[in-house]
This record gives sequence, C-alpha cells and structure tokens, in this order.
Amino acid sequence: MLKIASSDIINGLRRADLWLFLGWHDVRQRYRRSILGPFWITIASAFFIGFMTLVYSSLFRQDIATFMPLAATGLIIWGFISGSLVEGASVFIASSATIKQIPAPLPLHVFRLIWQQVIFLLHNATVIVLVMIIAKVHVTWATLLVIPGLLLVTLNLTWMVLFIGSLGARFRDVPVIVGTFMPALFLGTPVFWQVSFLPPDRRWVAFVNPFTYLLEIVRIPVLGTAPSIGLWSVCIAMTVVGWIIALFYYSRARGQLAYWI
Amino acid sequence: MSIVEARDVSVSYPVFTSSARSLKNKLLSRTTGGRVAGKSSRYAEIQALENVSFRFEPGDRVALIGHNGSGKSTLLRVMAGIYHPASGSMHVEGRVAALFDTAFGMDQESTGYENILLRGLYLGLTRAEIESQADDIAEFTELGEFLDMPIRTYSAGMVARLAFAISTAVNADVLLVDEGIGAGDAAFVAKANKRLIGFIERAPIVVLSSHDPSMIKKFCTRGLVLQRGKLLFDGPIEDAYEHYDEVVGASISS
Repeated sequence: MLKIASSDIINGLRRADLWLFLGWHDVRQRYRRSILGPFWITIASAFFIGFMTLVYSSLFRQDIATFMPLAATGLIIWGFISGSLVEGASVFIASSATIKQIPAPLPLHVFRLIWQQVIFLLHNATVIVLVMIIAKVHVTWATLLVIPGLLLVTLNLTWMVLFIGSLGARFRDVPVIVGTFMPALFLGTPVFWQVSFLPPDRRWVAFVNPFTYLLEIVRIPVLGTAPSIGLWSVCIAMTVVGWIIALFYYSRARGQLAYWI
Repeated sequence: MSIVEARDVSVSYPVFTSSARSLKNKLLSRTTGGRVAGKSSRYAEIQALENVSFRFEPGDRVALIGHNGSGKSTLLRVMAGIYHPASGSMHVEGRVAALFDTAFGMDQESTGYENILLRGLYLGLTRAEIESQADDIAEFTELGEFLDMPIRTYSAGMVARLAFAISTAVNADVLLVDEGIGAGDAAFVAKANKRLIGFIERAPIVVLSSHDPSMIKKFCTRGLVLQRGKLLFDGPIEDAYEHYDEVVGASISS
C-alpha cells in the first residue's frame, strides 16, 4: 500500500511541467492586470511589519533593531505555514474539477499548492532582506543554514497538506477546523515574540507547539546564528514521522478520494 | 504495446449525507458504539458498474453505447485511472489521453497562446512537445493575431476551434473521448473532420462515448452496450446497435 502511495508521489513530481506552471498561473491570476502584480504581496507584508514594529516594540519594550527582524521573519514564515495549511485542508475539494477531468497522480495538486505558497514566500522574502539591511543584521556563514531550514519546513508542510487534504476531502469539518484554529495557534507560536520573553513556567506553551520548531529553524539562521542540534533533530524527526503518517493515510484514501469530492 | 484490460470491474459510489461527512458524528459514533450513528450516518451507495470485463488491443476502435446513467462516463474514468474499481482490476498499458470536456482548463483571462500551453500541459504533453506543435495549432485555428488576445474576447466558436485544435494535437496510445468533439462553425467542419480522422487514426486504441450514431459508425468498429452498469453486449458495431435497439425497445414496451 505504502509502495503505491510513494509511487504516486514520484509520478506526481514527474509532472513538474504542469504543477510548476499551474502554481505560477494561480499567482498571476490573482494579480492580473494590476500594475504591481504579485509585488502587492510584498507591499502588504511591508506595511503590516512596519506598523507591528512601531506598536509592539514599544509594548514589549524592545529595541526596534532587534524586534523588527524578529517579527518580520516570524510573520513571513507564519504566513507560509498558515497559508499552506488553511488552503491545504481543501486542496482536493478545490481541485475536484481537474481531478475528474485529467488523469494525473493526486499529489500533483498538493505540489501545485505548495509551489504557489513558495512563490508568495519568495516575494515576501524581499521584505526580510530589506529589514536585515535596515536593522544591520550580521550576515554570517550560519545565515546560509536558512536554505536547509526552509527545505525542512517545505517538506513538513507538504506532508501536512497531503494528510489534511485527504482527510478534508472525506470529512468536511476539517477545512473549517483548520481555518478556525490557525489564528489561535498564531498566538501560541513565537511569531512576533521569542520563547525567552515568557516566564519559565509558561514556556511549555511554545514547546508543545510543533510550529515553534518549524519557525525557529528558519528564523535563527536569518538572525545570524546556527540552530542547535536539538532543533535540527526535532525538525528532521517531524519530517520522517509525518511523512509516514501522511503516506499511510493517503494510501488508504487515494482509491476513494475521487468519489468523495 | 497498448492494452486495456478490465477484469470483473465493479464501481460503487458512496454518496454521503452531510451528517456522514462530519467528523463529530464519526467520533460520536465511535464513542457510543454506533448506536447514535444509526441511519443518519449511513451513506447511500450507487452501483455504477458491475462485473465488467473486456480486453482492448491495438487497432480497436471501441464505442460505448448506452443511455444516460448507464455507466459510460464512469467506465471511461476508470480506464483513465481517475476512479479506482471497488473490486476487480483495470490494467492499462501505454500513454492515456482523456478528452472528457474539450474546453476544460481553458482560462478566460489568458491569451490564445497561453491557453495552448495550459491545455496542452493538462493533456499530458511536455512543454517541448507543445512548443514544437504551437505553430501548427495556431495555423489550423486561423485565429491569427487573436492568439495574442485573452480568450474572453473570443466568440464561442473561436474558443471551440482553439480547444479542438489543442485537443487533437495529442499523441496517445489509448485515447478516451467522452461525448464527442465539436469544432464550431460549418465552414470549418470539413477541415476539422480531416484533422479528427488523422487524430483518431494515430492512436492505437480509441474508446469513444457518444450519443451521435453517425459519429460512432464513422469511427468505431466495436461496440460495448452498457445498461445500469452492466455490460450487455460486446461485438461488432452494427450488431451492438441492433442489440441496443432491442434492449431500448424492450424497456419502452414494458
């Protein structure tokens, strides 16, 4: 069973011509005929981060130069995570017309969504670069670790979308549940604060939350230091265990998914 | 070698009521041992295909004959690998192209050329294959400069021409066609027919589902008669139609 599921993944990856094009197409579609096009994404994030820095750095009594890169990276990675998951829960429902018309491996629709979110992320990344320049963040060799960090986050989001997407096709509460809980989870994840801001007896809130680790594995290198071995291990373990769970559920769902949607 | 082989293929659709789709009800039914669930969480099942068996080999031009709801489209989707049989097996060798809705995947806001690429990728062509055929498609449609315009500026006939030209550019080992393919205005029909014949003759195996007997008789040599998901007849096309008329006649008089 797992073998068929994995071969679906591989065959889906092979149709890269199609999902790379469709992911781009989705982004362009949204901003077609607007002058700035997808750079509206960048501008929206820049404004959000600007105002947040103005207000929250004084609320938290933080220096703007330390707070701004922290909040900017946190918000943008969170946008990547929550955008993928909120849309991911209904990824197969939203693609139902395509699924019934075009013979193609189902994971293709997951890759299309993830690629679309990666494009959003790359547009937003320009804000991070800008903030790093303004706040004079030290760029070191450790900064390069942002690449494997992002790769791990993307791999994790892919299994999560495959899993909740398959589940959501069968149980229509799942997209609603994900949509409802993501904003609450935002408050429980160190997006615009750090675990060290919390009193020691409250830190468990961040530690039990898997998204804390996914966020920090990218943010720590952006801020110029190397993540600990412990953090890498947690993220790699999540990737492995998550993919096994997702493949297991997907292999059970794949045969009936086209009937559910 | 291209082959399509069905062995005792059965398909049943689950049709969920909204309460069966809810996770809460599923969980409640688990904790209460299924008593609360009762009828409300039951889903209806539609038997769309029942023990269908056949084998298509290269050279077969097959028509699926039957009235609405007889299982033709479901069978095509099982051959395309979109639906998985509940029992039995469907074995398909070769590159499959499915033309179910010829205008599917056309985007109103994109230009004619962009749509050639988009629709071509959907049909399973690679980028290189599409680029090598783009000029040929453009010439065939006679749309000229319009191909650089968004297709929302096209008339319905122009969109149909474009969709037809792209769909018939596909090279496949197994070609699955649902409800025929049309190509706009009358002046264009002769040219379209020529292209259609070439297109169908290129594919080793063609399976066509259509309500238009003239189209079927022109292209197909073998007919499968379906009724309520059961395969009633499999043989030469003329005999298949005779059998179909008998069945339809019988059901009308009874």
